[in-house]
Amino acid sequence: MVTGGTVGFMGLRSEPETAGVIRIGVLDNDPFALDAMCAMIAAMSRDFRIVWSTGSPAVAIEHCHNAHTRPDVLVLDMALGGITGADVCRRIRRRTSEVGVICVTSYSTDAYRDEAIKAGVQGLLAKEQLKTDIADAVRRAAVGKPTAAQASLGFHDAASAHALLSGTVPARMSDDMKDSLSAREKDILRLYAQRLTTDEIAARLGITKGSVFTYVHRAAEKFGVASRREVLEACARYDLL
Amino acid sequence: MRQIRSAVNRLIGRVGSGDDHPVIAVVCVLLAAALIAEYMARATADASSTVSVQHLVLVLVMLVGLIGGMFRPRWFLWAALVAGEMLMLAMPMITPLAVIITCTGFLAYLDTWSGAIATGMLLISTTFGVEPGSGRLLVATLQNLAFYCFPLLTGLLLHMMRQRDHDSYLLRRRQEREDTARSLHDTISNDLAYLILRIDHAETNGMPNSEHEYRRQLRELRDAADRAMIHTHAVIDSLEEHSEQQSQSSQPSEPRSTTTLPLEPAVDHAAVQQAELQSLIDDEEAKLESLGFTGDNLLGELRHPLSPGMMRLLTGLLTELYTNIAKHADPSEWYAVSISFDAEEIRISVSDTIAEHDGKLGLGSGLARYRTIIEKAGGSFTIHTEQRHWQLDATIPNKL
Repeated sequence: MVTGGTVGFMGLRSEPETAGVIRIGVLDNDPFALDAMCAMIAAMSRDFRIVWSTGSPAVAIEHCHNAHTRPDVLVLDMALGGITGADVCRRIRRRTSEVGVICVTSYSTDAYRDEAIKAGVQGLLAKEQLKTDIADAVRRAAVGKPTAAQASLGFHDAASAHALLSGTVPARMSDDMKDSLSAREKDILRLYAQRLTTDEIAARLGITKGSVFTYVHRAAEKFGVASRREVLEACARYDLL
Repeated sequence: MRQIRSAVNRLIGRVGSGDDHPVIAVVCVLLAAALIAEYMARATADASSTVSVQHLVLVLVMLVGLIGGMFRPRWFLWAALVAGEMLMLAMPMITPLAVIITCTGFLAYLDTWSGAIATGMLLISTTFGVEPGSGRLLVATLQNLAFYCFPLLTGLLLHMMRQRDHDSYLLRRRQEREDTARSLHDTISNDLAYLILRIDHAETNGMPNSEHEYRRQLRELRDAADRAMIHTHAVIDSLEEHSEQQSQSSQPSEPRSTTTLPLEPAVDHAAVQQAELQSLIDDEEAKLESLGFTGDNLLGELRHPLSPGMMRLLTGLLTELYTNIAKHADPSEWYAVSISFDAEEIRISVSDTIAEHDGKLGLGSGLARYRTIIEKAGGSFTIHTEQRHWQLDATIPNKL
């Protein structure tokens, strides 16, 4: 029995693997939608095995990283209560190319497409068309590739998306990035890189903690990342400070 | 009036009575004075009927009762009451009537049963005056009933109000203590735990590669200890602030200050809170990294600002969760934390792998406290452990 927030373990890697079985994990914060999606996907083909389903993004990410519970394909909803499916996918894709990711949405696919592509998703499907599209998409995603239709819209395969996100692309991007950080933002990030705390930085520069947050937040938006650590990583990678 | 009251208070203070009822004391003094005055006036006007030994004795007893009522109202006011009633029967005067009414009221204020008995006595004594058998008995009784219940009810009402004030004061005191304990735990206790973990980590890693690395590690340890020191001072400050503002209801100020931001009306409050939460998560993430953890932290988009109470709860809970990860999770495995904001609730979810030799299963006292708070507020807090996987799902209704 799976409900939002809890995980049902229905098949761990320790079981003998039947050839051709595709292990699938499902993430949706709406418990009814989660049940419905699991049922539908499992019914699509005998090769499809749902190994876990959850309503929690944290659980899904952790399971994708853990070798025991890692699925071949992750199917997730784009809207997860304030956290986007793209964000979840990006965090997974940054670290590994071994999990194919398919996103579904009940809203317009156009609105989310760019974000999904950048996050390294292999396909974005509309919920109304799930029955027709999902089987093919899952099979292709299990080998890390988008379907032909999705590829034509711009979706990458898992391996190249992973390469893009983990920063092995050479510093051609740094020229664009270098000028986009303001002097103040660079100062603050440099101080963070020297491991000062937020209080110390605010005191040293004579500004409020709120202003320090705002600068970091703006820098994060420029890089398209969320956390301070990612900003510092990006700065280190492109040698911006 | 105030001078009289302060003079009386000083007198009472010196005599040292158990209860502090300045109002009762003042009224007793006034009534005693009025009694003497009226009796004197009556005596000079109509000597024969007034001045008799019996009346004099009763007046004296009343005076004794009133004076004594300034110090030990519970006992002496009875004397004044009884003597007053007897005097009223013999010789109706204004002051004794006032005396017995106010005495009944005060007795009701001090103690419910005393008030009831006093009112009963008052009602019975009024029936003495009327001749039995006359139709007026019923009317007179009813009139008196209505009239004399007035002091009883007033006294009872004031008694209840005082009780409630006292109760709410006790509750507030306890609340403040709990808040202080919580802020102590969340900040200093957590800081020291982190420090210990860092030292353990450094010990397992052995000698650092270079002197630079060595200095860096020392500096980080020093920073962590410094933070604990700052938090200690902040908590001490907030405690001292409490003892000065005991009579007012003040919000305990949190050492991990979430209110240092100036409230500019132009700034989007929700965005500011989001940035604060993100910064907190970043700090915690960096701390976990220095302990060898790798993981993901997702913060959802906050559309509507949270109340200060909710922000405090959220930041406290997050700090506790990260400390929990640092203490019990396996650094070689992944961890993930996600926080999302729905229209009506906040959902927090943590997923990690328990360290191999970790003895502590279940909740530590820190998380247990948050479970109580959240469940009391109508939210949910479930922990799910399976083999070595640890998972927490908490929902907090967004109405705090």
